Amino acid sequence: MSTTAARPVSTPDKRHITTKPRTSDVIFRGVLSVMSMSSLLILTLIGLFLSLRGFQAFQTQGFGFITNVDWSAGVDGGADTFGLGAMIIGTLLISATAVVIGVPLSVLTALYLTFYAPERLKRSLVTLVDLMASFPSILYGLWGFIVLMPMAEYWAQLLHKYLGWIPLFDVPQPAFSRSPFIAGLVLAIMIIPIVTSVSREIFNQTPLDRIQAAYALGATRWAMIKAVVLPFGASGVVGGAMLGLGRALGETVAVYSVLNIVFKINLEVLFGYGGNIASMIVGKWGEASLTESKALLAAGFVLFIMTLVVNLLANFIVRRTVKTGK
Amino acid sequence: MSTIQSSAEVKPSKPWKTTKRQLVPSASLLLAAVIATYVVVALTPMKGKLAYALLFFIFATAFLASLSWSKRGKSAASDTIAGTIMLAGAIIVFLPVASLMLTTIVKGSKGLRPQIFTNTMEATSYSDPLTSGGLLHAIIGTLFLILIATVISLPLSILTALYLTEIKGKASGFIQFLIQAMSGVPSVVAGIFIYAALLLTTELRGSTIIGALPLAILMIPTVTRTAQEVLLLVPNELREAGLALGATQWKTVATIVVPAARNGLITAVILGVARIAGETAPLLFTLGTSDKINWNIFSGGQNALPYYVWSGIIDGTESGLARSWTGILVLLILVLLLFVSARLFGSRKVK
Amino acid sequence: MSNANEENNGEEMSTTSSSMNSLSSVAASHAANRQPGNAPLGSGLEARGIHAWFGKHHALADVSLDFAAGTVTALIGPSGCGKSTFIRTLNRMHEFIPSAAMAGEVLLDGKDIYESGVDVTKIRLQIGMVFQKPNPFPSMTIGQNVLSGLKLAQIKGPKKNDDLLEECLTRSGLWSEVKDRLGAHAGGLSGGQQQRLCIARSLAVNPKVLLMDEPCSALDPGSTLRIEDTIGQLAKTMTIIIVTHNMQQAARVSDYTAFFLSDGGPGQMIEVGPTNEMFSRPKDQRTENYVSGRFG
Repeated sequence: MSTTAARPVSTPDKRHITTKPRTSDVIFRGVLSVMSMSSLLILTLIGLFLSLRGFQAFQTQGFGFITNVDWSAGVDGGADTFGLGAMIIGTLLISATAVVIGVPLSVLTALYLTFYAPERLKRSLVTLVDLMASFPSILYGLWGFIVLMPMAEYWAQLLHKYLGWIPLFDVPQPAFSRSPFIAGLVLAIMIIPIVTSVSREIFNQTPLDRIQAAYALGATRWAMIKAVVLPFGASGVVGGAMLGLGRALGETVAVYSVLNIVFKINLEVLFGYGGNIASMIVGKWGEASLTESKALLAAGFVLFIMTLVVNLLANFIVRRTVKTGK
Repeated sequence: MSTIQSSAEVKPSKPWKTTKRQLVPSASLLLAAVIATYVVVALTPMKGKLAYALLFFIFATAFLASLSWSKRGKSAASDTIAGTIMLAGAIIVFLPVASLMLTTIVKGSKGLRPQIFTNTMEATSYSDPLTSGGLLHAIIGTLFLILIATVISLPLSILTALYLTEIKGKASGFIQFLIQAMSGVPSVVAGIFIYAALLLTTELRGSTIIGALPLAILMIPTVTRTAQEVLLLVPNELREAGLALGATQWKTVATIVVPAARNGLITAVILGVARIAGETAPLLFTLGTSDKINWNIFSGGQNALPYYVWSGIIDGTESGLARSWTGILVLLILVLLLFVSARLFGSRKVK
Repeated sequence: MSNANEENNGEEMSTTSSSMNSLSSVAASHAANRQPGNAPLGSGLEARGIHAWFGKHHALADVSLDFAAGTVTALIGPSGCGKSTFIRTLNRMHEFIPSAAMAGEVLLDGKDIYESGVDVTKIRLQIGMVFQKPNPFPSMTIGQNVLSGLKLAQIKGPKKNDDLLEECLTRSGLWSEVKDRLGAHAGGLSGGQQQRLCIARSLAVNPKVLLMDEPCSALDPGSTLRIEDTIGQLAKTMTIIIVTHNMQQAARVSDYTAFFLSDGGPGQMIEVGPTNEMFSRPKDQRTENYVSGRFG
């Protein structure tokens, strides 16, 4: 005879499981944790040394360090003026040119590679893009100076001829060689690999069911891209563009090789002089006095912060797109 | 009930693929666009490669889009236009790549003689004719830098990656964040940091080992990220098998996980080296300089391939620039070799 | 074979015969209630000798089916026997898979849709598709989703957008629930509502044929029944082909049923016939085994 259960049995409390870790594992975890913190250490040290050693410049120049547009080491006992303003503007101008030229080309290429390229061609081209990303920047500098410059000068002349009424494209004299435009062009080519790779990754992750829904409705390839891929990938592409921007902000030797470095503001992008913070540091380093060297370190600190902020924002945006998939 | 034909009688086909016959109208339109381009160039003051390219693109797009519109309507025309713009974008992007590589090969091979691999610049100046001098010291310097930077950064990177994949502690998110931050540090900043920390206020001068420090900083994020990806690919079953056998975590990781990921970790290191092999800016602040091989890595300046190229550019003479091209060619070959070997190691399956 | 349900060999027979009986009674009642469609569009769809490959793998062999205008045909059969592959050859979605190949013809109004020179986007406007997992466009509002087909093809509807919007949503049974929030984003709807939105979206381009690939398998029973009602209404003005795993559903909504099966090789269409006959007096033993629940 089977008895039916009469009393309900209460659920027992969960057992608290513990384990005594082996000593070797404790050491193991300890070592890994400490070593991983090395990245924190390094970043902190960078910020620390640059700001501390360069502190003198901040002290004497105050906020004018950022806003002053004049940088002249004191001549024979005169006061030094260290103003980063011109070079900050130059950095932004050149990087903006690079982004404006490079990002649309990268997006077009990424769309082409993801949705248009035939399979065999696609693999070779993707490899080529990755290869392009590992070219040394000094190669871009040398090539930009020798090969690109004559062509870019010609394009600058054309731009000036037809669009010179826009202040941006005006020049005081027809000196188109070694301009921020050319530097921006070289930087654009340098950031294309990274923006293309990030964009391609994003486009590849477009949900297939939405793509199929668009095609099933009778959409052409471009109509599908417009309706599904672009809305999905827009913010990711922005993140990729910011990564490219971060790279462009800190580029040194390519700019130095191509640009006529003069430490004044130049907003006329076609006119042949300008500079960015990185090339200024390199340019002035050789002859700098101790005081000026410290000021250059302070300049480096400003650059460090700029690229840090842009890079972190970029990574945040890219990761968010990939995770939530809109 | 349907009778089943033997499948040997029916051949698979792809009726949606564009046939050669279907390409004829497009091909003739492209030809028409070429003709139109030449006509316009002849009749107007437009000239130069840019004019040809731009005109051809405009005519080709307009003609092909009109064909699409007449046969299939407005949305087909938009599709055609979009397609040609994308193709043009891709071509514009790949032209510089081709030019970069071709220019390097053509200009660099002028100075490529066997002697450059056995000579240094101690008795030659950059502006001397190319029959003398060489870049052996630069190659040796680069190899030294790669070696030292790898020795410094490899343990830190691998251990950080292990922390992220094996321990997954509470600081993992923070450390990921840090690695991303580090990957954005410009190379010039890494260079002046080492200068500020070690050279500004001390008696030390630029040397090989100090030159390798900023390179190590730049390597760490690349190697860590790739190592992390590779370690995550090691199947969890392997880890569980080790633990189930009673091994401690550290033994499991050391004897099972890391060897399983060995190929991928080698790839990570190779990619890190490729990242730093061509870096110039940091060296300008930390390496000192030398026209010959300096076997003492702790004291005295050194040369390196990127620095060698840089010196040629600064020199500016025809010979100097020619030396730069040759130096870049050697550097490019090095980077290509690293790239290819990274692919080879990366594609071998996890053991 | 056809006397299976009259034999009395133990319990097994009586349960299978009872399941067949319930299916056939449902199918019979559907047939009885079915009003003939008025002015069905076009002359229907015909598939002749369809084969499908993925690379070297022969997935579908020699399927020929005639879908009369204004009818609902259900495709049933166990998983993996090629029903979804077949239905995708009907609106040329099969060719999106890079390794895909096919043979045979699909005739819409007498013309082969695979003929060289055919504009495939126009074909897909006439042969619409509703998918298993509802897939409205999340970046568009409800109203924009319904009209998206017109926008994608850059064509103007036959009547004003607002009227078309209301008509399509009414036909798919969603109008009353969303008429006050056409500007809301489509993501906020429930699964069943999203699927009805997808149906409305397909209707907006006025297709002659509507293909439905297991449209209710991801939905709850309540939504399923509402969509089945919708199918019944839609069938008056178009040809519907529906892939389904659910035999009761096939019995409820379809006029004709085709049974697919694979014996390890390519999938084949075993038998097709009026639904109530397929469920009560199937001609092929394999069909009978399937509908009586002996496998699948």
